[in-house]
Amino acid sequence: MRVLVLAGFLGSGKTTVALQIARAAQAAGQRVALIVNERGEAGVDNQLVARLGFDVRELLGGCICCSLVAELAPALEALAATTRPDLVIVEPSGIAEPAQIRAALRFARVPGLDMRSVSVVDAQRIGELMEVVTPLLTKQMAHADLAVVCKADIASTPQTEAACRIVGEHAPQTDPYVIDAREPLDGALRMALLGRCTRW
Amino acid sequence: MSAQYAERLDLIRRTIAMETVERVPSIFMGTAFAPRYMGGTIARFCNDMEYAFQVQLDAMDRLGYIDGANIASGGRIGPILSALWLSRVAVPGIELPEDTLWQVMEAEVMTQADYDVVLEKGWKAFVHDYLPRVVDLGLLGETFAWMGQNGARIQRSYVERGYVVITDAKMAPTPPFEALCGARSMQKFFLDLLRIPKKVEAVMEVIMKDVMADIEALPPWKGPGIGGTWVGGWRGAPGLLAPRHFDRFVWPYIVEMVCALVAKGYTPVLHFDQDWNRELGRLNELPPARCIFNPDGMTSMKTFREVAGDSMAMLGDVPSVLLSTGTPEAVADYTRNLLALFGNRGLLFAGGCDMPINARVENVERMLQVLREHNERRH
Repeated sequence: MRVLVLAGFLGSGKTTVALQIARAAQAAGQRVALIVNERGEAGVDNQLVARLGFDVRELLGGCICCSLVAELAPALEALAATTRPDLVIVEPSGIAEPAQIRAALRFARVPGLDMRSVSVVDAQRIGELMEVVTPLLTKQMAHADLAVVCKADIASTPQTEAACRIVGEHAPQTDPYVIDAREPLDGALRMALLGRCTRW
Repeated sequence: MSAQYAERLDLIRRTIAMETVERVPSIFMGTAFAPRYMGGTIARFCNDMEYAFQVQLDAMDRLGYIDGANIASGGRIGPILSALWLSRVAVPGIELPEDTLWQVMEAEVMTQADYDVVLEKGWKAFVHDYLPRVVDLGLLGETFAWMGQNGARIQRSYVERGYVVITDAKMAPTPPFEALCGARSMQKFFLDLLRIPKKVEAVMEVIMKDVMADIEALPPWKGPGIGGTWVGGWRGAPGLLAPRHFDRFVWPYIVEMVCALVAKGYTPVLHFDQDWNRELGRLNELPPARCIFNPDGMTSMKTFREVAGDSMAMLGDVPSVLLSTGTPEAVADYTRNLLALFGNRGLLFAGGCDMPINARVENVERMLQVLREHNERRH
């Protein structure tokens, strides 16, 4: 089972990116499930997501600090036992860290579990957020396999360039993809996320 | 007070006082675990106040090898958390399916304009007007009335069954950072720290005036019991917040509150979720052997022992994720390592934060079995 975890601060655009990835995967003939923490942050209505034809499961986790890692493995195990999707897109809480999630999944009883993480960065706010939430955002970027700079359509050019520089500094392992998440993913990003590549 | 209760109370007090003890005490922290373990639902736990009280005690009896609990449950957890954390809380059986955990809704409820309201009217007056935005006042009132009527009975029940409740004092002061972040949401509040720091600071001072007055009004703690008071710190955890903001907006207030509580004889239970590794040395600024560090599996216990392990006892810290997804042997290994790290000094053994709703029973039992083996070997 391929698992794609979207790591990014609250309001960074994770849900919108998740839906675009789901649409692209579905168009490529893949069975897709989404695991989201809808109520922990304002997000897309789960019923809307279900109407789009995706299998969606909700993670509920008490307080915001509980980044839902204890619930994730059982949710994946349930999917592996029932609908067996080709791809599971996980949108954990905005303070979840990829390394923490990876460690939490080491006991998951899911055959062929292969996790990758995508850092979702808000072009408009990342500059300010890096001044405050430095430790968290640094960890989210440092452990990402791929980075996406969102909201390029509403951010200014200097903001987007600054966001790319920040990603370059903290996630040197990947070149960021700059996107307007309301638009379908372009070919290069689709390939990086879904296609055959050495990273997956 | 039975001999068993007296022995356990003495053991836990000496552990908090950082003495080397003859056995490591075992503490139940599993508010969310208890209902399912006893065949009930979380919805019933959240909405049936008497059941919420009884089910934890029954779970402790059934598990066995337990000396006490971090808190005594009872009442309706949703309204209580909303009143404490100033956020809406979605509750199973009402907004959520029957057997899921409750969920704090991370959304802006307090607006930026409300800062000026606090400055003008004061914090308590603001909260009085604010609370209807996050909680049904009728439910909250009923909950507090029930807890007032039944608090003594609840405490007595624990004593009669031989269990020590650690967080047994009535007050749970909320640090200003946690209150404002809960009300504003992380998204908004973290940017407030950057964009309007002086205003945030001014509001924090107003909040602290009330918090410190409430602590001052507390009677000195003379027992019986531990006198534990919950002091929360997770939104302002060092794992989230840059050092200069932690230094300015979080730590000084926690120090002031904790020192005032200790001066009155209370035992602050520092419920510090998230990653506190960077600032563990700060714990040495607090009165030694008078507080309890209560993490959630994200802080390194090795680093805690090295840096602050002589300053205070630790309540925990078998991680939730290990209890819910690990194997019994992985849990056993972790438990043995934790016991080896602490020895018989400064450890109040428990699951980290709160045992999760989906903790595997075989893992919880294995954890307690390893603790028992450790204690019996030492004896």
